[in-house]
Amino acid sequence: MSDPSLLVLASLAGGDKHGYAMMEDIEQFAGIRLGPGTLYGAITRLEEQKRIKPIASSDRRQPYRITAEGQAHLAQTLQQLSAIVKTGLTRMKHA
Amino acid sequence: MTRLTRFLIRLYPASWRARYEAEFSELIEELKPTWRTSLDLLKGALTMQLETSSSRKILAAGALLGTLAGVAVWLAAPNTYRSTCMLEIEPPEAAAQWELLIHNRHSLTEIVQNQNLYPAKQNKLPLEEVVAAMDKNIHVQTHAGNKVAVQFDYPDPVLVHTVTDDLISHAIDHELQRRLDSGDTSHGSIRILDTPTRPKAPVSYHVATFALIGLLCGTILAGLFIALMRRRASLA
Repeated sequence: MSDPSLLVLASLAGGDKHGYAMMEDIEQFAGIRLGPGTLYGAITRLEEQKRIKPIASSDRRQPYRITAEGQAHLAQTLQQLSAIVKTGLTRMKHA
Repeated sequence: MTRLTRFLIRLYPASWRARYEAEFSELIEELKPTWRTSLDLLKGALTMQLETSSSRKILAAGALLGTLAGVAVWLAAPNTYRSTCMLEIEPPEAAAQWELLIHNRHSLTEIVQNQNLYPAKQNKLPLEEVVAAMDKNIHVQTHAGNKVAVQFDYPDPVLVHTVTDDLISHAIDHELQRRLDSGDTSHGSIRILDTPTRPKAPVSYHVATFALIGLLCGTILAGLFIALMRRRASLA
C-alpha cells in the first residue's frame, strides 16, 4: 500500500501533475509524505517502464501523465489489493 | 538551495542528472530543507547509483568495501600478547592430566580475581563467564608424551607473563597435593624446561587474512543485494 510507484500512479490517475503536486496529493489521500529522492526514484522507474510520461509545459516544473500501460498496471494492482482487503475484512469479521 | 542539498544532488549518477536534475532541483527549491529531506536525497542517490550500475561494478564495489572493512577491523583489533611455558612431567601418564590441571576452574577463578583480569568483562558479566572467556585463551599441548606446553593470550604484555606463571604454580600445587594425598611420592618429577616467556611484541595476525575474509563477505553481500534488486524489479 505504501509502494511509492503505486502512490504516484494513483495520484496521476486523478490528472497530470508535477512533482510537488504529487507529493501534496499523495499526502492528502494516503497520509504518506514522500521525500523528493523517493518520489523521483519512483518517477524514474515508472518512466522507464513507460507507465508515465513527461508532458510539455511552459512552467519550469515538469508535469507527468499516466499512460495507458500505467493505467492498466494500476487497475490490475488495485484489483489484487482490493481482493486482499476484502478477504482480510471478511476474515476479521469471523475471527 | 543549501550547499548540502547541492552536494547530495551531485551524488546522483551523471546520466540521471542529465535527464532529471533541472526538474528535481526545481522541486527541492519548493521544499523546506530538513534533515529528513537530506536523508531521503542520500538514500535516493545511493539507490539510483546501484540501479544504474552493472552487476560487475556492484560486485567490485562490494569486494573493495569488504576488503577495506577487513583491514579496518585488523587495525582496530586490540593487540594480543602470548606467553608460553614448557614443562617436562614424569611419569608420562601424569603429563596427560595436565590439561585438566591447567584448566581447573577453581584456579582460574582465583587468578581472575587476584590479577583483576578482563576488568571490562567483570563489570558486565558474571564471574563464571569471565572465567570461561579466560579459559578460551589458554592452550595446553602435550609433546613427546611427557612435555607439556602451556600458552596464554592476553592484551597486556606484563600480565600475560604473570598469569602464565600463576597457571603453572597452581597446577604444580594441585599435582603435588594429589601425589601427597595418594601417597604417591616415591617417583615422578616436574621440571620447567622454559619459564613463561615475556612477550616483547604482540601476536600478529596477518592482515591478508582479514582482507580476504572482508573481500569474501563484501562480494557475497553485493551478490545478495543484486539478487534482491532483481527480485524487486521483477515484482514492480
